[in-house]
Parts: sequence; C-alpha cells; structure tokens
Amino acid sequence: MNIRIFSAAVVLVIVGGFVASPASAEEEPKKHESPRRFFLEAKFSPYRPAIDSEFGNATPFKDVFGGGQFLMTQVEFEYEIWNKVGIIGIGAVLGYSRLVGTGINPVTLEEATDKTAMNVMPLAIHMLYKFDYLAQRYKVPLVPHVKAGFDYWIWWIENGTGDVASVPGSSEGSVRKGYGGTWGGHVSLGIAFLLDFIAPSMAQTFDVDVGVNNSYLFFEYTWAWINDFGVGNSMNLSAGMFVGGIAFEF
Amino acid sequence: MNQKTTTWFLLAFSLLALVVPAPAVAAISAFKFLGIEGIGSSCAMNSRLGIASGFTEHVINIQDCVDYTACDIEVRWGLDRTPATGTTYAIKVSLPGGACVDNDFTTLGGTCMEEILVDEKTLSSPNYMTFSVPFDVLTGGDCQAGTSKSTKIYIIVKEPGLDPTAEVLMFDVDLSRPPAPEIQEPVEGDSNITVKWTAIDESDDSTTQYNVYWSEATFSNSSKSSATVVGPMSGTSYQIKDLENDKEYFFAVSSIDENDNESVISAVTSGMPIDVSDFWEMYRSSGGQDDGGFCFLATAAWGSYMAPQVMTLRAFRDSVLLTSAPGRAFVSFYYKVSPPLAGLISDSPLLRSVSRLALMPAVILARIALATSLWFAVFSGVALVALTVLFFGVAIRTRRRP
Repeated sequence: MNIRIFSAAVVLVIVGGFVASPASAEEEPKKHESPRRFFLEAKFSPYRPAIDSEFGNATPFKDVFGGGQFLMTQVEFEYEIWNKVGIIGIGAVLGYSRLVGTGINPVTLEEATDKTAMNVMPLAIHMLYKFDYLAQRYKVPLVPHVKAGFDYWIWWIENGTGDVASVPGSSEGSVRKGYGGTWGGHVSLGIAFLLDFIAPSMAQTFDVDVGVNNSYLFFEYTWAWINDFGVGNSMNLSAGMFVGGIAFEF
Repeated sequence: MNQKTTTWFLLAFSLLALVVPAPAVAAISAFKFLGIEGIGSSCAMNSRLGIASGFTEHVINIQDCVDYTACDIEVRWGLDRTPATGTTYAIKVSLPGGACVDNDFTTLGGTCMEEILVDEKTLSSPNYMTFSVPFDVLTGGDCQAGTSKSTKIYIIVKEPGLDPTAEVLMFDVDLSRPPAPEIQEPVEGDSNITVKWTAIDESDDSTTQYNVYWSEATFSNSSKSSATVVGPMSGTSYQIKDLENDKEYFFAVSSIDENDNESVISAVTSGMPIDVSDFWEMYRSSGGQDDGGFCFLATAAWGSYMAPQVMTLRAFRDSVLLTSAPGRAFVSFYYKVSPPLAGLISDSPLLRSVSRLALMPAVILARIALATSLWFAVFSGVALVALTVLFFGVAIRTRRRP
C-alpha cells in the first residue's frame, strides 16, 4: 500500500472517530477500573533495510529484492513503571520480516529461477512515555507517545534450497555463514486513538470480563538506526518505518 | 397392454433381475473375525490385507500379488456363543469379481469357484476356527491383469432347525496401476533441481502420492531401480538438493494410488544445476563488510581448561574468530593481556564469581553463533529480552512496595 494512502487512512480513522462520536464521551464513564500494569501491542509496517547504503555504486539488495517494501510484524510488551501523569514504562519488542527475492546468475547477471530470502528478527528494549493524562482525566481520546531504546536485530539469509547461505571463508575449507546480528537504537513518535471512546460500555465490559482497561489504534513513525552505532561492520538494517497497530492496556 | 409393451416390460424385468442381487442370507450370529496370517516362507502379510482381528477391509495390490503368490493365507474366525450341537459349516470362494450362492453348501460354478474350499464340517471348536486359502485363488494368479475386482470368501453356517447363515470376507484385489504423471521441465537452481509434474487427480480428497526418481545416467521404467528414489510424497514438485553444478541429471516421476500401486514412470527428463548467487553471495561480492556470525567478548574465569563454558569459547575462537584477520588480531591481543588478568581473577573467589556472571552472556552468544539451528539463536534472543523485562519489572515493583 502506498505509504501516503496508508498514513491518510490511519489519520482519517483517528480523526473521524473523534469527530463522529463526540457525544459518546459523555456516556457512562468507567466506574470500576482494574489496575493498569501492562501494554500489549501488535504492529505492522512496511520495511526496507538500508543495506545498499553500505556500498558506493553497488546495489546488491535492490538487485535481489527489487525496489519494493516488505512487511514487518512486531509484538511489543510493555510494563508501566509509573502511570500518574502519563505513563512511563519499559517495553520489549520482538519482530519478524521475511524478504524474498530472486537469485542472480553470476555469469549473465540476469535473474535466476532460484529464490533467496532474508529473514530479519528485531529484538529491542526501550523506555517509553505515553501522555494519556487527557484521555484518563478529560476523555480526550488521543494519546501521543515517544519511545527510545536499544536494538539487536538478528538476520539470516537463505539460499535457493532454503538452507542458510554461506560463502567461502578466508582460510582453506572454512565458510562464512549468512547469519548474524546488528546492534542499534531507535526512536518512535506516535499517537494512539483510544477506542474506548467509541464504545465505552463495551470497553467497561472488556475490563470487567478480561481485565483490559483500554484499547488503542495507534500510528507511529520509527527511526531505527541498526548499524552497530556506525562503528562496526555489521549489516546495515536501518530503516524509517510508518507503523500502525493495535494496543491493549491491562 | 399390447404385445410389444409386454415384451419390453418382460425384458426390462429380466434385466432388473440380473442387476439386482438376490437378498443375502442373514449374517452369522455373534461372528468374529480373528485375523489372517501368511503361511510359508516370506509370507508375513502386509497390514494392507487387514490381518488383525476385527478388521473388515482387506486389500491386495500388485506387489502383494507378486510377493505372496506362493503363499497360503490362514483365516481365523469364531463365534462368541456356543451353537447348537450338530452345527456345521462350509467355506466357498468366488472368482475375482464373482459371487457365490450363500444359502447352501453345494451350489458352485458360475462366478463361484468350481471347488468348495472347505466341505461341510462340524463346527468343532466354535470359538476358534481356521481355514487356509491359496493366495493365487484370491488374486486370480495374473498379477499384471490390470483389473480391480473383489474376491469373496463365504463362511456358511447351518444350525439344526434353522436357515443357513453366512459371513462374507471381501478381498479387494486391485491389480490396476494408476496413470503416470506428466513431468514438466525441471527448474534448474544452484546445486539443486526442482522437479515438477501435473497431478493425475486434482480433487481435494485425492490420496495419490508420487515417487521421484533421479540419476546421473538416463534410465527407463525397467531400470528405474538404478536411480535414486524419493517418496512417496504428496504435492506436485520436489527439490533435489546437493547436486553438482554444470552436470546433467535425469529425472522421472511415478504415481502411487491409495492401494500403493505404482504407475510406470513418466517420460525421463534432464536438467543441469547452475551457479546462482544468493543475497549473501551478492552482498559479499559487492564488498559487504559483515562477516556473519555474532559478536563475542572473551576471558578465562572458569579455571578449568575443560570447563564447558571455556570449551564453548574455544570452539568459537577456532571456528569463527580465527577465520578472519581481525579475529586473529583479537585472539593475539587476548593472549598478551589475559595471563596477568587471569592470575588476578583466579586468586579471588569473589572476582571469579563476578567474572563468570559477567561472561555468561558472552558464552550464550558464542553458543548461539556455534549452534547449527538458527531457531536456537532466535529462542535465546527472545528469552534474553523477556528475562531482562522481567528483571526490571520485578525490581521496580519490589522497590515500590512499602
């Protein structure tokens, strides 16, 4: 999906919900809320690593995987350290993206029939702040947030038979296997729409039945610098990502 | 009704009488099938024949027909009751595809075997009776007949003062081969060839499976045993790995039906694996600096050279670090500075403990790097993140409690 269309759709949902149902904010507010301790988020984004930025003129990533984006799916678990005026917390992220491309015939430099795939599995820990004071106190259903933390992204590359790719090593008989990890960091800025605003009664039931205090639809932009902080030789998996997802506070 | 109509009516009635079988006699009360056993050398029967007690499906395929042609089968049966004194029984066998009259002991011929298998006998031990049948009687003897018919064994019991009752053991004799699949052009990859074929039965509940034959030399249906066979498998493609690039290989496919009958092989086709650069090769050949593997920080804190943790780090040194110039430089540096540090650590139990704790992540990472399974690496990473969050969470909650 075109990034602009995707962004516009998310904003439309947030703003539309806000404008269409202002009166519902006056409906039964939550009377008995269970304690809030955690967040669970599922989020999705287009992803395209900046591997080709390691090279001058060569574009091995583009040659194999083309010019498109790939789907990155992430799950985030957050713990609320303090939630009086907004939420300060820590979060852990686990993600996965599989990039499938076409192998290249080294003689003709044309696309071969063999497929090759790159698997990227982000692992991250971050601090976060979510300004939900207005949502909790004044029923304003928008919650901006910021997250920043450290990353270690595991990657591995498959050859045409689905095995981990390898190339000959520097010494006789040794091989360099196509897997590894890259350190880095990330910053995310985003905004979440409190879905409870649309159906407060349902939200109350959700809390009573399963302990979910709040449900959010959120959108954020993440700057991920996954390049060993610029001092190592690891593969550059950096990317800027428009992320959309759903979050549950419980 | 005129004469013409009457003639047609009689003709139709006669045809109907031929098509609709006469009502069978009642089943034997409390009958139990106790199994089948092959008699003779190399006559251990395939489970396909329904050899266990209580089985009601008995299938014979081409391979069984060939393998057991010199065998007899012993059929075991009995009654779960004590019949009246003077009860007798007889056994008849139909021809393949035929049937016998099952309400008397004497009527034979037609599509029923001319000779009675077991002539009228007293039911001496009703709980456990046996009789044997030559295997060829069941199959008809011609294993290449290409037919699919049923042979029936009739166990007829006559109790004094009662009508005869009968049980029929039906053997499905499937001697027809499925059609051969149509093989397609092989897809040539790096050290691999993907063989593709057209399914002979594309219905969702198809039970057809396939064998893939491949060899460095061409072969035919009669010489296919010289080729390597892979299968049976479902699906319509199979990738053969670990082949030599720029070398011609030959392939064929056969289909296998639900009764394990195998078709003749398809046309034999050939292909040649070619060199293909995957992304890792493209990355490295373009000048990518990442050497692969995971990072490592080493020292010696466990004391023993044979400690598992030290062995892990040593294996990592040999397998990973020493394969690159920077790695070799690091190892060289380590051996210069480590002796005095190791001496310091080994003299202090506290420092040893602290060092071990600090080095555990390095050992874990080294194990990850050395592990053949990437899923182990993934699992370790996830566990590490989860434990970190848990640690912080518990620590903070503990501090917040009064």
